[in-house]
Amino acid sequence: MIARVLAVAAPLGFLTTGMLGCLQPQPDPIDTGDRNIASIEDIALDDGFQIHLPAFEVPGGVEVQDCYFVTVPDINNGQDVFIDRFKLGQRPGSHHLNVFRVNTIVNLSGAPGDIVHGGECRISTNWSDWPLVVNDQADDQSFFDWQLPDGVAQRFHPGELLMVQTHYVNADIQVSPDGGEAKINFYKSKLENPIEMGTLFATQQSIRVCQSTPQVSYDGTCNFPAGTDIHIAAANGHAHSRLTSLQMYTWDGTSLDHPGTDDEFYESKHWDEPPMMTGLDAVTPGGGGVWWTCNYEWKEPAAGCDIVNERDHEQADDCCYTFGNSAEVAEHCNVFVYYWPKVESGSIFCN
Amino acid sequence: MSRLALVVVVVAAAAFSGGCPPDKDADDDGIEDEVEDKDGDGKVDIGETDPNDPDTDDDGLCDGNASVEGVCVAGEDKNGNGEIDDGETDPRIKDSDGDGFVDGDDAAPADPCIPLEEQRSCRQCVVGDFVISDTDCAVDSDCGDDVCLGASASAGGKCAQRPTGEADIQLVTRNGDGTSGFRDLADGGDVDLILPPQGGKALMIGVRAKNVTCNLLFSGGMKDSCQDPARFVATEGRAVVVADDDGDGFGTPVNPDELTNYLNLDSCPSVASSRDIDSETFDFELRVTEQPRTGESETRTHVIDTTIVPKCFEDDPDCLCECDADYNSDVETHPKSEQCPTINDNDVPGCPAAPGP
Repeated sequence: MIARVLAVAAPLGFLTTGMLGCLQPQPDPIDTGDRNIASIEDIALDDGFQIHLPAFEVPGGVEVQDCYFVTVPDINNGQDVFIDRFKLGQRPGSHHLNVFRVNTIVNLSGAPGDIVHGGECRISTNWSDWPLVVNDQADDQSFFDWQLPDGVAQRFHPGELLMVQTHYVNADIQVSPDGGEAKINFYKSKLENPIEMGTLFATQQSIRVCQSTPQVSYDGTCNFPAGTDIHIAAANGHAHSRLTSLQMYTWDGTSLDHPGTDDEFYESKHWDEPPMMTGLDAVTPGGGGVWWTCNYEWKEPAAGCDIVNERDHEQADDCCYTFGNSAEVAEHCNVFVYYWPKVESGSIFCN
Repeated sequence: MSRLALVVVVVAAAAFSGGCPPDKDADDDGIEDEVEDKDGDGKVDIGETDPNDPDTDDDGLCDGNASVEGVCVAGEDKNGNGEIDDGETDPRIKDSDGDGFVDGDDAAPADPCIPLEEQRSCRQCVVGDFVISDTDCAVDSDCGDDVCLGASASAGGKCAQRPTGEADIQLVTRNGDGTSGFRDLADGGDVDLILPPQGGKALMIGVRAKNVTCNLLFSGGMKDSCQDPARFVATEGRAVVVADDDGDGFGTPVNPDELTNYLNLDSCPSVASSRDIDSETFDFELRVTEQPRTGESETRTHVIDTTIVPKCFEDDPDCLCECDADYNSDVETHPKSEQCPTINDNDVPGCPAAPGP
């Protein structure tokens, strides 16, 4: 369902101030009752901009996933702006918070200010050229503050369309007692000509974790163009509760042999709190890339197998978790990598 | 301060009196804790059982060869060595033999043929690592009419052993229409590029195989040999299942119109290829590993090297655009409306000319 921002705001009756999904270069402070959201400071136009998704309700037993479409404000006299620091704050219970640039539309779409509640936001199908900007999956009350490597920044065009995707879970496996809310600060770089950061997003979507084959793995790779060494500055992964571990490795691009531990630069063993690892400097040679592995172990669904079987369009009757947004009854294997320098031919996409 | 003092006193007293021997089996299930939590990290990792739960998989049989009153009866890992030996069941899996009956309710929890066939699913019975097609669904205690990809005869009618014949593995590719299954893929054959759920364009390649187990691990990729060294343009690793649905002794992808039992190679857009993806010849390597059956450690891997020619299904213009070597996925600054009319040139088939001096 697509709703215009103001049309949705009134019925919710839950907002304290501001508009849903609006960009707020100088937002009004709000009293959310959460010290960490409140500790995300306001930001002056000269210093950057802020996206604030004010509080919304997450009823018990419900997963709420919304996609907010917003545009980058003009804070540099019509010129592109470079951002070299992000700060993200969320209320507890967040399953994830992702920010993407919007490019080719296949199904999910929205005009600036639109919010897509569930629907296409849950099954969004065209990530092949929606580059990742920043993401955070912290479930606790901390905020995420990321200063990019020295001399490195992300470029934004004034008027560029972004999509902020929130996912809150208030169910058996995660709880959101205070509802949802998020703030994202984008801090302007003071460098005139920084090295541009690129991002890589990989998603495995034809995935199955079944009772009859309870331990399965999925591997994939992402390539960089030949010629220039690539520095990996940060990484994050995303999956649901059947995940036992997720690893990422640098890869030379020439072999099918699984990389060794010496090449590993990221590992998560906690599906609900995957670490956002910053401060990395893993180097993959030009022409190489990233190899990732998601390992799963089947578990009996808390709600029983019927609901899992119902959403298995292969109708295998094998209690198979398949790709999907629901943390309770579906699985994911997503990989987020932040690197520099950005490749000239656009975003990196792979599965 | 007082808590620390108390601890010291208790420890001293225990040491003086000889104390109790350390409890090596906290849940009394017959397996020592250090065998259950192999790496000692306090978590139940893959391959481990819970040292604090005598029945890790809640199937009614205790993890080891001891009974815990009111919880479970002995036992799965009978010799308590942390391995699944012959005649033992898996303390991590409720239905060790995959016959549809929880181990604690199964008269023969290590024998997939007991209880009888009629009580199981008919079309495909998952038996250990074999998927068998039961041709008559009759009461059939020895599985004698089941086809186990060439294994039934050598296994004395039971689907309980690895096939002993020489593996025969051929490639197939899913048809791009998504409704007509797959077709054989010969050396240099066309493979349809389709739109997968995640976007981009992908190739789907599977196997028709005989004398292999039905649960296979794929690791494969498409390689651009125009580069030196040759580089993979797309790779993937996944578990797939094949089954013999027509009784010819060859297993083919289960649910052939779906994507899950093929190698999924997301090939476009690509920054790794030196040339267009569509209608060019690429090297292709597939490693097929037969998953070990319960209690086995040995695996067999078969390597297939061939060439393939990716083709945009029905010359889909969007595919032709995204699969061009010059395609720029930053459509914010390079709109598709500007890129696509002139790309997918393929004007110089084969490897691009080496750059001049």
